Amino acid sequence: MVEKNTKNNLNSNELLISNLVFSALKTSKQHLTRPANPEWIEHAGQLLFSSSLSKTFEQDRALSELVALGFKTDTIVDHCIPVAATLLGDGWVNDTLSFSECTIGTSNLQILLKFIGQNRERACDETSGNRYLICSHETEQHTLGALIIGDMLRRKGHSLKVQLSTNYDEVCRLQSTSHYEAIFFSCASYLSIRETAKCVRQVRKMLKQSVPIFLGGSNIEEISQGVDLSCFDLVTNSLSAVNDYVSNKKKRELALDAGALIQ
Amino acid sequence: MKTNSDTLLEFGSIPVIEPEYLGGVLATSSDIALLVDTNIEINSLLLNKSEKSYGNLNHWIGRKLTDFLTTESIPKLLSAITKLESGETVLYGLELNHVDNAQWQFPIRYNIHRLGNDGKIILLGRDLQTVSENQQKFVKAQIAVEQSIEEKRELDAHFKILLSKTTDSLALINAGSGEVMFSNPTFQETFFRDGDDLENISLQSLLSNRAERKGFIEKITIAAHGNYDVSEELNTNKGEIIFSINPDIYRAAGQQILICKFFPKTIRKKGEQELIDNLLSTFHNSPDAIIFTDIKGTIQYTNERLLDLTNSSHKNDVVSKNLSEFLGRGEIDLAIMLENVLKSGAVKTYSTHLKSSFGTKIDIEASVSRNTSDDNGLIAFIVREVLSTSGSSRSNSSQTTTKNKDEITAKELVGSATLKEIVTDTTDVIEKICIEAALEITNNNRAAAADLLGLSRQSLYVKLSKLEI
Repeated sequence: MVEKNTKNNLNSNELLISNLVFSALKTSKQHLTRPANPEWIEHAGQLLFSSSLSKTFEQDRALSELVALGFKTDTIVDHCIPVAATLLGDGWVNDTLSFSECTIGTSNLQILLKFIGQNRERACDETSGNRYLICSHETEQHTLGALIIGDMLRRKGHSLKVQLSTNYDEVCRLQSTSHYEAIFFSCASYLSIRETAKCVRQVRKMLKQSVPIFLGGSNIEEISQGVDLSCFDLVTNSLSAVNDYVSNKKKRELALDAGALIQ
Repeated sequence: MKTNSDTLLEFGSIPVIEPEYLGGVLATSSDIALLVDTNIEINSLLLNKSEKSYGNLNHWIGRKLTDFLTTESIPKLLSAITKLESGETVLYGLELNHVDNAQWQFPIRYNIHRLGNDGKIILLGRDLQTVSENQQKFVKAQIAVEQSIEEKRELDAHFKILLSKTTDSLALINAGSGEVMFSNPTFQETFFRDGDDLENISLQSLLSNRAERKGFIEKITIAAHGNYDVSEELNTNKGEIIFSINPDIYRAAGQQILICKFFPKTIRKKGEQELIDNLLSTFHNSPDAIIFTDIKGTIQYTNERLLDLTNSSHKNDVVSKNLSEFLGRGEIDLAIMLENVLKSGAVKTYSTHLKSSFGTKIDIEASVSRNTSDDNGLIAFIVREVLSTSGSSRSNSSQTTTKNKDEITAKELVGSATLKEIVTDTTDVIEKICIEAALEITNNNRAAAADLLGLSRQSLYVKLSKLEI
């Protein structure tokens, strides 16, 4: 009888541990989507770059090609599309591509991004995350960055309003009516970063309440040289840094409110 | 004319052009021609006479060309000049954006050539303003499309929330074909099971009586126009139930759409009351413990058998308590069963221990299902004491099925990350699950949780911080 009980206990424990491990594997699977070898990403980015310039570009075929290589759609959005966009930008800088080709290529990447987003099952209950206003200034022609950031944040359960080609009047109006927890600007050019900084300084003057304002963009370090960015709370491409900043601000405000109540 | 691969025109293959004609050739073969020296200073500038839009650019002469370029164009020019200075030929066109007093910009596509050994360089440019204007229009149109997609997304979110928060079964139906275009979760839970394909479902296909399917949509449409309800027996995932269908009709995008609300009628079908009586009798007399909990595991109802198994004297000792308090591995057991039942609807067999109020443990097998007929979404546990190994074959078969599914998960994961990454991440997740469970068990008493986990307090704090618990 003792032996039987021991055997049963062992089976029960084995099942428990097995369940635990596979439950952990399933959880890991959800965020371990990046292929192990970064060269795969480069290879996929190169493929996407070539197909974005093809006269016969079709978003579903471009997606199928990458999926067949083992890429998950989230990896394509987070890594492959940005690599392809960088290659397009480099093409113009190196004069191997005209700006018209760059525009068409970027536009095709945008179509692919939209195609992936529309086919993705999206939870409509976005009550747990933060509420962000994602903007690109009216002088910014490249909106791909803002849309990728939007896709990433939405996947993490944040609720967003994406306002492209905007100006300080519109940002002030949106912020005054909806009280977003943070505003994020995306920039990709030397001209727009200056105009965006100017716009944010005006927004700061106009708005009564203080709101965290962030700046990001894939080539932000290069284009921001010599520009006064002190009006931004953070200049970063790290979404976790942005989320941490907003969460900590919320905690501080809660603590202050609690302190005021006690007094 | 002869050409070679580098310079296109071989020396001597064209006649020498006299200086008084050269200017004219350059001015007409390009929209703008610039002569610059080794310091990139503009020595001379020629504009095509037909090109009026640039105005007077004479103030460029004597100034550096880089003063009239946008920031991103400067490295491109410098790179091309470096190539020329090293003796290379720049065969590609150089797209540069000019800027003048920050008032306006214009893009030019230049061909750049060395004129001799004195370092002089000539840039022959073609105006890209028309292309640029078209590109601007294209970008503006694209941004407008993107913005309208964002607005549509916002409306979609409102629409989905509205549907999901409507507690009545609701469906939007194409009045021409009967196709269900949109439906809310209540409708889907009433008429379909998890995993059912909801594409191309028609309202008439839900009718129990096949003979009435023809003409059914017309009947509903007439009722919508006449503003009255229709009673019909429909196939639900719990059998045939009579519904009162409340239709309304509207037009959108040229289509006629029926918006129908479905209210189940309380008339019990023959035999249904008998079934309820039998179920109640089974609940009270079952040799197995039957427990209903909410989705957090708080016991709502149980039969007497659970009191026997846990040596509890009164139902009040178990009702409103969390089932994990009676399970051998507490929160861990409960979390695994709840996770599986919420994902797949049922857990066939799960082996663990049950703790009695005296601290003794008995081996049990539990089967779990979700009671979807109840709006509160209660979870039903049937708990059986394991007295011998007779049940092990069933348990093994269940384990085999789970194993097969898990192997598929593992196969999907392998290849998408290195083994080291999978192991590190999985270990982190396991540590997190166990620490969270230990904290739950100990009511967030960190010292007790550390003891339970066999960790020093310091180690636990380090892990809490690392795992962001």
